[in-house]
Amino acid sequence: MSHSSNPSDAAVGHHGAAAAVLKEVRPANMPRRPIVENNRDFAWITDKVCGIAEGKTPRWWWIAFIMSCMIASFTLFGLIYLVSTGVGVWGLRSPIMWGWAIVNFVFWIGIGHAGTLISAILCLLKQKWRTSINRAAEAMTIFAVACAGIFPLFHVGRVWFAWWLFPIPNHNAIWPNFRSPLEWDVFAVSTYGTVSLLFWYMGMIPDLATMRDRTRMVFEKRYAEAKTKTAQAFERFFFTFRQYFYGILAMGWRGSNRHWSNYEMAYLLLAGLSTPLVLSVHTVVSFDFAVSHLPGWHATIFPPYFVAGAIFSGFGMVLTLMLPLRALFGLQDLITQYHIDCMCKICLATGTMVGYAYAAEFFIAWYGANAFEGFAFVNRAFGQYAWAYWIMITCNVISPQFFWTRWGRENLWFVWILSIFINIGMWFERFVITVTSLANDFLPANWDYYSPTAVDIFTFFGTFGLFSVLFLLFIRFLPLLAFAEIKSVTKQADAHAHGEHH
Amino acid sequence: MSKTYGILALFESAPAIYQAAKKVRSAGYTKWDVFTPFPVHGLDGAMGIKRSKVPVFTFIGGLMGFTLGMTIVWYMGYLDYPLIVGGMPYYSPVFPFPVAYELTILLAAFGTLIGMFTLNKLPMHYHPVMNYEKFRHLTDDKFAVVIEAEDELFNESEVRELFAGLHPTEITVITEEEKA
Amino acid sequence: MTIDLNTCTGCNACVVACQSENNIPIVGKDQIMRGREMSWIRLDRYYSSGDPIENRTSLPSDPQTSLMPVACMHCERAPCEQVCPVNATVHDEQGLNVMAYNRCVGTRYCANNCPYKVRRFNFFDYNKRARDQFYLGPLGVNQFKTEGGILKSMQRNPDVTVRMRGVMEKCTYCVQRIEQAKIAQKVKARDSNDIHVPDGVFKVACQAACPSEAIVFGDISNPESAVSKSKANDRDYSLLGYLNTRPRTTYLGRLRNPNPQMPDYKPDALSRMEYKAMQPQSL
Repeated sequence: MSHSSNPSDAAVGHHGAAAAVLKEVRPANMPRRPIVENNRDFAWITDKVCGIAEGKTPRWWWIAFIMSCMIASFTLFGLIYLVSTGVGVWGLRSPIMWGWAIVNFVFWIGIGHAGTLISAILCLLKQKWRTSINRAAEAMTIFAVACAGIFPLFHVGRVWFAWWLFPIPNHNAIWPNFRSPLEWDVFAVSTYGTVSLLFWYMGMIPDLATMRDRTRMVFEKRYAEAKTKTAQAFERFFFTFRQYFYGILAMGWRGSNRHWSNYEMAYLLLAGLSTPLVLSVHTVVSFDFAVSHLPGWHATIFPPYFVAGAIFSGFGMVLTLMLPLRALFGLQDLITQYHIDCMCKICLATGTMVGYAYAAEFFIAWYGANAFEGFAFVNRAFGQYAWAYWIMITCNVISPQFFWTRWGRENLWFVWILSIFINIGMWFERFVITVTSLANDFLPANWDYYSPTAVDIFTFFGTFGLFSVLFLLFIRFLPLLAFAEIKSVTKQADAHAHGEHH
Repeated sequence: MSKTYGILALFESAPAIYQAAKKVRSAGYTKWDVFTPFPVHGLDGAMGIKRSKVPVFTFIGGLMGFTLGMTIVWYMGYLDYPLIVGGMPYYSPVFPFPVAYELTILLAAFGTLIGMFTLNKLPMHYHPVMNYEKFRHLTDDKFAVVIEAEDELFNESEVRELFAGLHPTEITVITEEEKA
Repeated sequence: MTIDLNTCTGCNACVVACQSENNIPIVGKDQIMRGREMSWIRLDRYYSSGDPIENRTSLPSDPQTSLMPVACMHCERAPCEQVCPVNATVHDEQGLNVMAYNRCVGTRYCANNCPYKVRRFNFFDYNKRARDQFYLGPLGVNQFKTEGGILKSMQRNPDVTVRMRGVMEKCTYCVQRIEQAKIAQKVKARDSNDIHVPDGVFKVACQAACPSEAIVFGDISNPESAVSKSKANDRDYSLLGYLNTRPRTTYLGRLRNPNPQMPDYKPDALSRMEYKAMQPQSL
């Protein structure tokens, strides 16, 4: 057939102008970036991920674990001192009755939201790249919720009566106040922790089954390498432990497709339930502020603004955790540059949303012509906490803009440092919201300045130790990546691919 | 003494197991199963499995959660111990909404998980297929079809012939231990 | 309650009376510096000059003082009640915002939501521990068991709870005096239904101590009571009224610009220098 190299000639072809155009134009083939690089097969994926938990504990793990335990002890001692002596050991004062504790609470809950977003929302949006990071991100969620829950529990004046926030019969025969956002928090955070745990566990069942089925092979290999009698005895004990640990948790999963059918439906349903859950939990947390009267708190923008900020800080934390693990365990083929690109782009999008929210708040404060509201915002930028405000702006609005550039996304040290800045910025955002509105509210006679005490500071940094302890245990014993899901999104998993040779 | 549970055919790829499932289904067997290390798209249709019933459990759980939430707030704030709070009415359908919403999701999630376990009859820590020497690969990198001896149409040589036509890696008999 | 800002001299007698009546602990200089004063009624002082521009840009060199005694307003639509998760602060049928110390868990959300910031939190066991031992916690001496501490306990008003740490407190409109008056009236009424407490039978602590009778307290459901008449005054206003909290304590605004053409006009000094200038020259 005769082609003309000029497409416009083809457009005025004899008959079927559309067909002629298609024959000539021939759009370029845009290959999708692979989820797993270097064409790894299923066995390689399994060996790579299971190998992390099956091999000998690396020395760096022990060092990190001991350091994390020491840091976590700061929280333990801080809380013991707090409960035995009184809330006065913190820096709180009238009118700033909520300080670092509530800031830390919102900070940790926010971090947890990325895990649920990756697991649930990206699942509903059919984003296949989520499979490499969803297991670790969900683990991060659960451990972040555990760290977060410490603060609302212990910041109360009488911790031993904290159970009164639940609708449990008590000797006063009185019930909690369901109008209070703190009461909504009780239900929201408990539900969030529970459902995240259930979703994480259910997602792990097939992977735990794989690890269960490999225990004998792993034992034989490790036993052969054990030279002393104690080492051999330890290997036998460890083998029994792993058999029971993975065996019980795997629930007898055998990979039956009839089971996969119910499993996939349950997974989809949990994803569909977790999506409104993650949106509602941070909304309810934002109501702690939005439902009050204070200028700077009483804002309807808080629910979407908090949710966007939570996702932003959560993805920052996912990057902070996954980039070192990827390097340490050699997971570059499973967590590829494409994955990092996607995560950076989400950080950029949510960071920009947060920046827009800052601007919108200022605009509405001016447009609404409420003297208290307008003052609250001018005070944030130029008042006694201006230093905190500008740290927040630099870290939240300016730093993610680097992710527009390919260099900004591909230089992994830079991405890692930026992810830490993101979390610093988000902590300061919660600090600015909580403390500036309390410190300079309606009546100038009440204004004051809040600083944290050493107990505040150590209790907070100790929670990073607690988080690390839990995360290190997770790395050591549980599958770090959801390898069954990763396999299902590789090219080889497609049942309708042709060119299979028997 | 060991009893035959069924016959297993092992495959190496997802397209192969898909074709195998279609064949076994059109042959008319009813008691059979496919084992894969991950869910293969389209395999449910090939096997003739109907849509999962887990959503029923989810819906019941969600309904229970919502009613529970609204009821406890109404009972506690309106009926049992009404208190004047900020000059507001004892009960309105608006303020219990966050509580009822969270309980909806919580009980729906429990329903989903319980439904999944119930319909899958899990936990079931022992199943005859686990006696297969290469069973560990079924949760790792290989695929298998098993036709159970309990099936009405089961005939060992016929099944072997059917499998042979699919070119599997191997064909094995799965046995289960007799209960003493 | 109404507080007349015209007659209030800022003498702080109400603050002292409230402290004695309600067992408010003395927290010591160190805790005051850390912002933990416990007084239920406070005297807010604002300094200004006659020049509105100067007010915003610098400290006035010849300040005029404005005073305002602020205690719990017992708002009808109290923002504090709405946010307490355990129903420790609710409204009673008489219109008081009541604080149940034994139910309070100490989340401090009520204090955050109060626009007047009249709520106080027991950061330490101020009654149980000595002032220099707050930070020692359980390692400090238990004052309730020492001889000096027991003597001090006898100073306290037996009608009012002594609060432990972790509990919020605030002005209660001297609810113990209200209840005593109600009980006495019921005892007096015997079988008849005449249980309404007449106006003026009792005074709350701050009202009793005020030398210029700036504080008027009573029953606003009785249109003949002193407080109802006080609230009918033109000068009556609510602090931060636009928030619609409907406070039960209102203020009678201070007059700073009396009309010179009135027959009983007397010039009034608004600042110290003005006052000094008005004095007859000493010989």
